[in-house]
Amino acid sequence: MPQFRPPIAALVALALAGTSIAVIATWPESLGLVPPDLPHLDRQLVEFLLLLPVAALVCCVIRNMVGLYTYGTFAPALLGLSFREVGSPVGVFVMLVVLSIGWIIRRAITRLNLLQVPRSAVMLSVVVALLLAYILFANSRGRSVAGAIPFLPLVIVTGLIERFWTAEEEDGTGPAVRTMIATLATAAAVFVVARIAWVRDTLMEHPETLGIVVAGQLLIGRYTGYRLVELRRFQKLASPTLQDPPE
Amino acid sequence: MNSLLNWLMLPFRLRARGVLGMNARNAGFILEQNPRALFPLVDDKLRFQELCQRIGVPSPTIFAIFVRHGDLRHLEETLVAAPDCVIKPARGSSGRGVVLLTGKVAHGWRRHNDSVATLDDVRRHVSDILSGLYSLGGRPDRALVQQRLRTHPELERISYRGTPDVRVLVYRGEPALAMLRLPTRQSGGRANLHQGGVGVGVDVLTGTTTLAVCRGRTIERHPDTGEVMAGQVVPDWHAVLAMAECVARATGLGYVGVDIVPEIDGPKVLEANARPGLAIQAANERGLRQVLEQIDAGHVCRAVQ
Repeated sequence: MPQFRPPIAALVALALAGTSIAVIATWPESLGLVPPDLPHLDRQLVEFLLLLPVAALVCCVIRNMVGLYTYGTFAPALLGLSFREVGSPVGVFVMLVVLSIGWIIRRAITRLNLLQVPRSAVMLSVVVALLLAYILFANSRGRSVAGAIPFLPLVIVTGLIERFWTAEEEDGTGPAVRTMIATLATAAAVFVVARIAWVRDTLMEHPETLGIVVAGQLLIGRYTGYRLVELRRFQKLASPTLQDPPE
Repeated sequence: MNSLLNWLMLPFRLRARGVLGMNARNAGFILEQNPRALFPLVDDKLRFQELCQRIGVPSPTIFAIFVRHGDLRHLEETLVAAPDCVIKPARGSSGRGVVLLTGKVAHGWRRHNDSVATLDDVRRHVSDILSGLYSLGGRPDRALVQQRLRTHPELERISYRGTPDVRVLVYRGEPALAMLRLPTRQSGGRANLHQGGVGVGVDVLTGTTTLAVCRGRTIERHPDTGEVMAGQVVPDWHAVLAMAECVARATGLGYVGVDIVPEIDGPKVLEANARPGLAIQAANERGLRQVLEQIDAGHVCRAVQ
């Protein structure tokens, strides 16, 4: 028997969001929690940290309300935030090239019968070598990319290659590519949200906005409605030609 | 405009039909009915096998367990002694990492799809299992070499290789919905629906199949064997139901899918699942939530024993 439960999660969310909004409304000028005279690198770090929960919230929306399945829960969040650092189509292109070449090498490496952890270590080294080659190549053409590339989460890229390969072996190329596209689309959504100047400025001037972000996470945590992809999946079950179930 | 309205109304129509969504399943039923501490009992096939033995429910024999990479030196003798077997990770999910061997050939072992696996192939696979490649959360795992079950000829006839099984969803001790899962050429011997297997709805009262779905579409006939899917009778249906109830009670889980293989000398339980999927609704054209609410209200549609 479904008993009545007080919606504690919703109440906590309400309280958190209410407090945040009250604080912001009371001191509309920044409280200066993030001091404006912070050194540039520290500022970047703080910005990255503050954006992380927002990126996680985007992942929650895509997982639980849209219903896309991705490789790793927060891998798309980190990937999306790193796109922001890379900041140019070149960065995305480099990542796609690294993914493809890494995937080919992963196929070749299967024959060596390596244990899993050393195999992943080899793949990490391969990914590093690929990036190094790109940096040196760009440098020889007189361009510096060092500012952008170090932010690419190498371990996550390596993990993506490994999971893509496993999924391809297990479920076939189609589903594996679909999951990869969903992962990259989620990363793109995170990137788009993280790029909005208003989001970044609000977070930096009022870090207390985090309360609203957590409230959103709590509310999605109690969302029991259908996911968007389920509407399509179960469409047939809603068709009027279906006879009504017996009582 | 009209179709947009249709889409907007869809959630309400689904709700009215009692269709269960993934979020509602997780928050409303799994979190509520299945205490986390009980998950290892069904997630770990070794512990599940022990449980089945303790309660006296027949389950496949385990020939060998590989725990460390060093154990791989016994692989050849194990496979020579039992050339007809299933190799699977102890903590795998949705049929991942399962290999079916059907017999010894000159340079290795025949797989269910007639390809040949050499000793090196099998050794690499077992090594991957031990490293946790196929396991929940990627944790290091053990590999089991298990007896390959032989489905009842009645089911063998309508299926394509692999091992078809019956999934019975048991809610608070009562069978709610059931579905026959048949492997296809595409599903690679696995009976899991999201890998392209066929799901056939089974009437819980009679054990008769109703309609079939494959890759989200209703089908009349099996894509590989061409056999008609509706109107088949699952052998020993009442024994299957009793077994599912018994196993569900023993696990202590309130929302559990029990997978049973009807063999010629009676059903055997293959495994249980603490997070059973939602495709069973499509195969039965019936909303699960509605069935569960009926059970909550004390409506029990128990088969006549």
